[in-house]
Amino acid sequence: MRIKMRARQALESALSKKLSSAEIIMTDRKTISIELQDNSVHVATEDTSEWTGIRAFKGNSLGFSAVNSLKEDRINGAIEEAVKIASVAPPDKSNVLPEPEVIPWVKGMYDKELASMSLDESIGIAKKIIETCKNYDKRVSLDSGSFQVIVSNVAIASSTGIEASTRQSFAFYDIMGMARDGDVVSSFDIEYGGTRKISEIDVETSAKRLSEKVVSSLGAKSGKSFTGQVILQGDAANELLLSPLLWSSYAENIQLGSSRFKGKLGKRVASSKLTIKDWGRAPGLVASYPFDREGIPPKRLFPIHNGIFTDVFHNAKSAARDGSVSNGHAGGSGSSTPNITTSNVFVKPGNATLDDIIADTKLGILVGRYSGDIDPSSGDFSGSVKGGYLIENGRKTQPLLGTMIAGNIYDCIQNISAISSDTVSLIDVFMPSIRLEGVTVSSK
Amino acid sequence: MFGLIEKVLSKSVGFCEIRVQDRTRRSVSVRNGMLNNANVIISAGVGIRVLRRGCWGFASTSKLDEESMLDVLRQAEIAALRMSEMTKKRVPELDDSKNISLDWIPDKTSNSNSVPIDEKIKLALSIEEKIRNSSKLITNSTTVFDELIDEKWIMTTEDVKVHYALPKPQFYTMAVATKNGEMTRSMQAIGIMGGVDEMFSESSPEAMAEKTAKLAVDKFDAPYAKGGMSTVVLSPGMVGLLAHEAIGHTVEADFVMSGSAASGKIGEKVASEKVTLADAGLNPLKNGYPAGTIPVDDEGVEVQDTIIIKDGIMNSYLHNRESAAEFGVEPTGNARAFSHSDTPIIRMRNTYVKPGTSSFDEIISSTKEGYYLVLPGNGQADANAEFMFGCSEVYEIKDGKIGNLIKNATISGQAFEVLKSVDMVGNDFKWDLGSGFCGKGQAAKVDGGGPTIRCKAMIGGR
Repeated sequence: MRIKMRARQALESALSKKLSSAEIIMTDRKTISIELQDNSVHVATEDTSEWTGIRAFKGNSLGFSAVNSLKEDRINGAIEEAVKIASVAPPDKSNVLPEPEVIPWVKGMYDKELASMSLDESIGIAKKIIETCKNYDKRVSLDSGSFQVIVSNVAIASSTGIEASTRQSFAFYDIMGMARDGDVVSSFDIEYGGTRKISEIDVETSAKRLSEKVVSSLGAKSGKSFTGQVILQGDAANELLLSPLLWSSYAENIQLGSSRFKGKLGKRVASSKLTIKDWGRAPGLVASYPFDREGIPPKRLFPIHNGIFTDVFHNAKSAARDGSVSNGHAGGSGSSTPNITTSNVFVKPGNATLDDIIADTKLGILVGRYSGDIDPSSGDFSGSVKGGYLIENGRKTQPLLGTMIAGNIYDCIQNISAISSDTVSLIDVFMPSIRLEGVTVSSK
Repeated sequence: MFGLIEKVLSKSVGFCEIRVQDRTRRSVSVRNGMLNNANVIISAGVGIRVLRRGCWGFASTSKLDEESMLDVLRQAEIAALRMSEMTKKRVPELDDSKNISLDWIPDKTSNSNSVPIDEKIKLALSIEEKIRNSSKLITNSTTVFDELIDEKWIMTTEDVKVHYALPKPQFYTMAVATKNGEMTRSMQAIGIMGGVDEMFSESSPEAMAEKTAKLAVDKFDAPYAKGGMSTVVLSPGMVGLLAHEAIGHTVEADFVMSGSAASGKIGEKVASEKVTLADAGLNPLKNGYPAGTIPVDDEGVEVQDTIIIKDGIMNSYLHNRESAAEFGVEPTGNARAFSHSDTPIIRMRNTYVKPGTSSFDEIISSTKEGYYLVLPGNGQADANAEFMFGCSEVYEIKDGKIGNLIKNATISGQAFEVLKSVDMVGNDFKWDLGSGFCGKGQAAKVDGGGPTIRCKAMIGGR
C-alpha cells in the first residue's frame, strides 16, 4: 500500500531530527455525501482528504503536529513544528510508544462494491429516505439528513517497529425530522445507521422508524410528577446510562481522579443484571478495527460484568502510568494525539421484551431520547424527556411534553429492575431498553 | 491566492463559488500537573460550489494546485448535473449578489499568533497548579488553551472577492472535587474573536482558576433545586444561550421551511414587548469581542444585524441566498461553512437580546422566590421550540436576595412561552457564549449574550 511506504519514509525524516522516538500516522479518505434539506435532496458533495500526524519524542517530552497533506514539503514542515514543541514540553515518563504486536485479520472491513458505489446510486438511496417518510405519512417533514459513502486508508509507522495499514469502507446515514399537523409540531427525532457492506444498507427501516416516532408524538402534553420507574430506550439508555459508565472505565479518568470508579476495580458498581462488553474485532461491524490509533489490536473487555467493574480501557500512555501495556483502545485520527476509546459495545439483553416491561409498569415513563446534562464524574443528571410516553397500569397512555427527569446515574444502576431482551443498533452500540427505579419525574 | 482562484473560476461555465481556507489550530492542555497535549494542526483546502440546471454540486480537496482545483471544479459540475437528472427540486433564481470586495484582517490577529508555545505551556501549567492547590478536595484539575486562526479567500463568478483572517482563542479551567465518595465538577470558559490580551481583559486566568476551584468545593454543601415551574433570573450568558438555542435555531430558514415552531410567525407576537432579539455578524454594540464575528458570510454576502424579534413581534428569519429567494427577502449573511470541505448552510453568528432599563439590583430585589442561573452549560432545542439548558452555577433567590448555591440544574420550557413571561430586562450587557462550538452537522464558532432578564421556566430538580 502506497500510504504505508510514505509513512515509513516520513518516519525516517522525523528520526533524522535527533528525536529519541517518533510515530507517523497517515490517512487518506474519499467521501461522497448526499445531503438532504427541507424534504428534498439538496446537494451532492465529494471530498478527498489526506492527513499526516507526527508524534515527536525527545526523551519523555512529546510534541504533536498534523497537516492535511501527504506531500513531503508539508510533512517536513509539520515535523519541524512537532520537534519544536517537544523541545520545550516538560517530560512525562508515561509518554511512550507501544511495542508492536501481531495484528490479527479482521473480516469484513472493506467492501469493494460499496467502495465503488456511484454518485447516481448514492443519490438514489438519499431519495429513498425521503420517499419512505412521505409514503408513511404526509405529516412527516424531514429537516435534514445525509447519506455518505467513505473509503479510507490508514497507515502507522513508529520507531518501536510498528508498521500497520488498513483499508476500510463505510456507509453512514442520518435523518432528522418532525411531524407537523396544522399548528401542532412534534418534537424532532433522529435516526441513523451505518454499515461496511453495500448489501446491508437499509435506509427504509430507519426512515419508517423515524416517521413512526414523530407522528406518534404529535399532540404530546405534560404528564405527572412523581418519583419512580423510568424506562430508557435505545438513544436515551446510551446517552444517560452507558456513556458515563464507559467514561468512568477509561484509565485516564481513573488515574486523574475524575472517575467514580477509582479504587473499585473488582468491586460491585451496578446491579448484577448489568453486563457491558467491548469487542473491537467483531467481523464487519462499523466500530471494529484491526489496530487502534497506536497500531495495537483491540482486546475483548468487560468494563462491567454482572455488576462488577472488571476491565479498564487503556492506551499506551495510561497503561504506562499503571505499569501495564495497552489493550488496544487508543482512539483518534491522523489529526489528533491518541485518546482512549471504545469499539463495538454490547449491553447484555435481559429476558423480558420491552412490551412485557411496559406491561409490568404501573406508573412510569418511557424515554426515547434524553436532552439534558449528565455529569460523568458525579453521575448527577437533569434534563428533558424527548419522544417520551406516560405509562399507566401497563399501557402507554400519552406522548409527553414538558417533562424532565433527574437523579444520579451511579445510584440508579444499583437499582435496575428490568433489561429488555430486544436490542437496538446505534452504529457502535447494541443496546436493550433498561428500567430504572427511583428517578424524579417533573411535569409542568 | 486570488490569481490561482481566478484561473479556476474562469473555467466555470455557470455560477461558481470558490473558498480557499487556511487554518492553524494550536492547543495546549494540562491535567493534574502534567502536560496532556501540546499540538499544532495545520489544514488548508478548497471547496467549490456550482449551480447547474437549478441544482447545487460541491466538491473539495486539500490539494491547492491548479490541476487539483480544476478536478474539483469538474467533480462539482458532475455532481450538480447528476442531481439535475435525478431530482425534481430546483434552486430558485437567486438575487444578484452585491459586488463585494473586501480585505479584512483585524489588528488582533498577530497578537494571538505571536504567543510562543512555551509561554502557552507555562500559563496552562501555572493556572492548573493554582486550581489544584486551592483545596485538598480537588482530585482533578485541567486547563486548556486553544486557538483557531482561519484565513479565507472567497471568490464567485458574481464578482465577490473577499479575503479575511480571524483569530479565535479560548481558555478553559476545570476541576473535579471528591469528598466521601461524592464528586462535584465545575468549569469556567472564555472564547472570543481577537487576541489573547483581549481574551483575558474581562476575566484573568487566575480569577477563572479561583472561581473554578471554589465552585467545585462549594457544591458539596449545596442542595438540589426543587423541580417545577419557577421564576428564574438569567445571567447574560444564560440569555445568550436562550437566544441561540431556544430561538435562534428555530428561526434558521432551513428549519423554518421544514416546519419548525417559528414557521408562519412573522408579524406575530412571540415574546414580551420588552424583548428585542437579534443575530449579528459584526458586533453592533461595540463592546467585548464576540466569537461569532465574521465580516461576510461564506456566500460572500455582507453580514447584517438581523432583528429576529422586535419589541416582542417576530420580525425576520435567518437566511442564506437560497432561502432568501424562497421567502422573497434579502439574504442576511448567515451562510457559513466551518471548513473548506463543508458546504455553506444557515448558521447563527452572535445572537443576543438588546438591553432594557432595569438594574441588576432592581431585578433581584423585586424577586420574592426563584433561582438565579449564572453559568451556561449544554443547551439543546427542539422543532416545537421546547428547549433544555444546563446550568452549573445556580443560586436560590429568597425575599429579594441571592441566597445559597444550588447543585447543577437544568431549565426547560417552550421558547416563545418563556419569552412571553419576560417581565424585567436589565440595562447590563455581556457576550458570554464564545467558548466551544455550535453543532449542526458541522461546527461553527458562535457567540451569544444579553442583559440580565427575569422570566418563568421549568426547573429540573429533586
